[in-house]
Amino acid sequence: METFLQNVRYALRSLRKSPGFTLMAVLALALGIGANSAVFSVVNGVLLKPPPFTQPERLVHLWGNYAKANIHDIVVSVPEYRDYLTMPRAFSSLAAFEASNVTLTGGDAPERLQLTLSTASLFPTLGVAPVLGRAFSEEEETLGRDKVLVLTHKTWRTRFAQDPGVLGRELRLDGDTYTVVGVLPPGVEYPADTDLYAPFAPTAERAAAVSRGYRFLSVVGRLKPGLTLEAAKADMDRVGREMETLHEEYYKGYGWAISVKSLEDEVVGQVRGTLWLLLGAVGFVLLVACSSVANLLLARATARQREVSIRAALGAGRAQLVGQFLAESLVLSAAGGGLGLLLAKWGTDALVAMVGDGLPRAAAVGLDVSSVLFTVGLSVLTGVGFGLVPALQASRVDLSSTMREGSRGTEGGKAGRLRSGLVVGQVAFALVLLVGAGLFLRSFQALTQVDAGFTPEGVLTGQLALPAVGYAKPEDQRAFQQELLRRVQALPGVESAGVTNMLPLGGKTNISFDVEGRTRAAGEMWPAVESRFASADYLRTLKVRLRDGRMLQETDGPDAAWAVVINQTFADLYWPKGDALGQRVKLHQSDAQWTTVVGIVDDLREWGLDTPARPTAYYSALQVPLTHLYLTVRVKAGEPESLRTAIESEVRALDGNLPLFKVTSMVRLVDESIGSRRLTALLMGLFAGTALLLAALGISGVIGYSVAQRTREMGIRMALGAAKSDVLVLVLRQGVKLAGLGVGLGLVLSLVLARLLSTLLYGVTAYDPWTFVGVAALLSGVALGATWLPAHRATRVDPIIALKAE
Amino acid sequence: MMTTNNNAETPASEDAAVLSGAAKVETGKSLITLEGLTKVFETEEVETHALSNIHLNIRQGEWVAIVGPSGSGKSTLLAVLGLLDTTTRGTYLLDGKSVLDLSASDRALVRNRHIGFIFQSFNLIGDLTVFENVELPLTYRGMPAAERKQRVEKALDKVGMAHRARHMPGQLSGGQQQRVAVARAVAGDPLILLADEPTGNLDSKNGEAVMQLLSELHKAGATICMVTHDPAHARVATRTVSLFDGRVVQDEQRR
Repeated sequence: METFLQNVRYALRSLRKSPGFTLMAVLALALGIGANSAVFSVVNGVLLKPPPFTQPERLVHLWGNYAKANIHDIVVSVPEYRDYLTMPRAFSSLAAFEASNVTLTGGDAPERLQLTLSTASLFPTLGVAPVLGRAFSEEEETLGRDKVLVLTHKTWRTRFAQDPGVLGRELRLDGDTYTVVGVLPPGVEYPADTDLYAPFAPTAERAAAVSRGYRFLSVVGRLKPGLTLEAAKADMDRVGREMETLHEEYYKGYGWAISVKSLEDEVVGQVRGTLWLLLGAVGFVLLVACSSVANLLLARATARQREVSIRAALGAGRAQLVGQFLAESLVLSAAGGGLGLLLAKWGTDALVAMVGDGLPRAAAVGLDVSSVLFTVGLSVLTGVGFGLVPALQASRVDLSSTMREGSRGTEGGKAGRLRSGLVVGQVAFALVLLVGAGLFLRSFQALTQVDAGFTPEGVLTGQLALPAVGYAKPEDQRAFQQELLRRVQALPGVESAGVTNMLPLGGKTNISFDVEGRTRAAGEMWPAVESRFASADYLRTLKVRLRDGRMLQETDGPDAAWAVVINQTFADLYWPKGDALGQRVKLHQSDAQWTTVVGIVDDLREWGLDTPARPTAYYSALQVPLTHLYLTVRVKAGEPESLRTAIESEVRALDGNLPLFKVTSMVRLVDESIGSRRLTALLMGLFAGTALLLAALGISGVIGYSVAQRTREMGIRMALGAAKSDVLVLVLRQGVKLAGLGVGLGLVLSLVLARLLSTLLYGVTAYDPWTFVGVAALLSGVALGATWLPAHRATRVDPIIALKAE
Repeated sequence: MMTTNNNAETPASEDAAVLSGAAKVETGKSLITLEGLTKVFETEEVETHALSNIHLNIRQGEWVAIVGPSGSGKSTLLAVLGLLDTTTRGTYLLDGKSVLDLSASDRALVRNRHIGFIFQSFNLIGDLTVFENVELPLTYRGMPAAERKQRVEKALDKVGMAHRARHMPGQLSGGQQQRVAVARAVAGDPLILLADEPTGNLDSKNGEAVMQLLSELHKAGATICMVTHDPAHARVATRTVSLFDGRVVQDEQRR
């Protein structure tokens, strides 16, 4: 230990004497380690940290599927949930829940909160118990007894300052009075963003057997101990078949099946691939950084050959020499790790901020003990990793050189090859990262060029949820909607305004329907479409192009014949002869009427920019009034945000208890919908840029060192009549050779690894030739540039001085 | 002067004694014995005999000056004696034990415990203080810190450099640096001091001072083997061995 500390002391002193080298090495390592720690913090928080549930690996999510209609992962109805409670054998418990928005009143201003209505079994199923008060009882799953609340820890902390006296407090939600009965432990917010929980008490209508097709409940289950996911899937296959037998009219012939998916996959499945990819990519950055530092250390070791020889002559064994060099690399990596930790802290926060809502479990992401341990471990590994080879190389000394006066360190063939090999590796790794970045950038570019079918610029959006109290009747809802639009449209600067039940890029609402005059063959599925309910000016506000017929109008009211505008995909699918206009359809909804197709519009990307348009129908929101409204307002000029205050005050004037929430511009929503892809492209670009810079410095360093070593040779060549251009070409050739080898190796590696990216790309193949060729050309150009400087220096060697230098 | 190669008969315990430094040397006994020592540098076309059939015996307490023109093999011989270089043929016994077949780590151990080096260019490590430079071989020996401190202070005192213990080599004159190098060489109580042109990089005044220091060490009992091309310095030694083309051509005992 004493020897180690002494080595560290000497190392510190030695590094202090070479500030340039030390700064370069520490910065390279800080970049590599910091970036790795930041990405690890995200991976750790999202993927590795166990969720705050008991034995989370036993938790699963159940989904319905109509395979033949290509409809997957649908929620379930109350009658179906009851089947799930009795028919399966695989679960020790099951729970159902429905997320909703409520308005909290009684404070300074009304606030929107996410209320999850759940069965009493939710908390036991998840394996969590309140830290304060109690959970729900089954008796409270009854209308009239269901006005009790369990708060998430976050809500308790942010709204009630963790006041233990919160139990028994009454809150006004959507006009109803609820009593707080419990508080959950930290981190338990399932489904995501839940603020409050209340018991799920179905109305008689929802619970009725005829409501089997009215699906709105999510179901989670806890597998019996020892039971595998596969066994549960087999069990639910059996249940699906039994349901099909018992309720043929709902399931038979549609490919009905119940899927069982791990809850972990449900929560983080979408980001898992991307996060591991980023961790892999940032690992490459560290490899490049380590190669850089190893290269610097090799050069330094060569320069210190004499010192090493002296130490060896005085009796230092190889282990002692290696120990001395390793102490230096460990000091460097410790400094790099320390600085990297600061970078990681900043980087982690920046990553979470950039991804925003796109990152599940974002609250669990942070620089915690695991991240610090990871950084420390990585620093030690890195220190040994990049230090060992130079240390071993340095400890292989020519002892007799100590006897030679003025003998200077010259690089042996092996060290030279090692340094060249490291540069080839750096170039290869940089190329792999550049190919990855190139593919993601092209993918992102392709996405930004997708025609979304509407014009988001100049549109402000916000949400309103009408509570049952005061808005129970359709006419109340309709009146609110009409008055809201009248007031907003009258505001100066507003070009048009509309409401809908769901914005583009927002998600799915599959509803089946009948087509007049068509009967289903045995086993044929009901057709199902994306269904949107919109006011007359909604599509106009989004500047959706009308292809045929007319848009919805104010006259498409409750007393008029029902009208629907459909998208081109819908028209092409069901009326390929182009005779869609005038056809009639009827939604499978209790109060639906036969509805006439009055217009055909362009396709909108309703599921996201990367998902092709599906058949979509736009019904009149006056005929099917909304309780949850998305307001869209197009401004005549300027930023849409400028109208926010005016619109909010109109809403307040209309109903002081209704907050307009999630107010944002449509452009921002479009941006957020591709936020994770942008982040991936951005990070890959950053990683690749860093690797490119380090690789360029590596090439320049190796060639520069070689030129310094060959000064005499250059002098002799020039004395013998070599032109400057001959020397230039001689040096450039060396750089080009290294870069060529690196590019070749990198291309092979990229071809092998690109396959892993294929599922994460859009609009570009994983083997996109333009990307591969472009990246290879870029890297070769940079390598040539990096070689130019030392090559130019070589041409300025004075032959006389060079010869005297002997 | 002639000895036999008794390597095969050397008991393991005696080997261990050499390596551990536990061996005690009797006054006047044979310390270094070279027999038929040959060093050949071979390239594809040329074979150069750097040392050719050297027979040499150095006794405890002797001060041997090795002289000869450039390329005669002086420094190569010193490097072999210091276990810094290997030989092609021959026998080398140090304190009666064969040391040519030792592994690299055992050679390092022997250098550390039994040989003190004084180089022409001082070879102090620029990043270490005077104290640390002198301490270095003792550190490699694994000696406890307190004992190291005591030995370093004694060695620096002996060469008159105790007051410069905290200085860096770069802050000292050439003569002072060589005195520190001498302190480093003697701090570990080696069997023999090997000096390679110890005054070669010094002006005459500092050169004389260093020679004076070596004389004092010799008078105190040190065995010294010194390469020099300065006849005046060679005359200070008790014996002069002349080399030419890798061979011993003269071996002159003065007193």
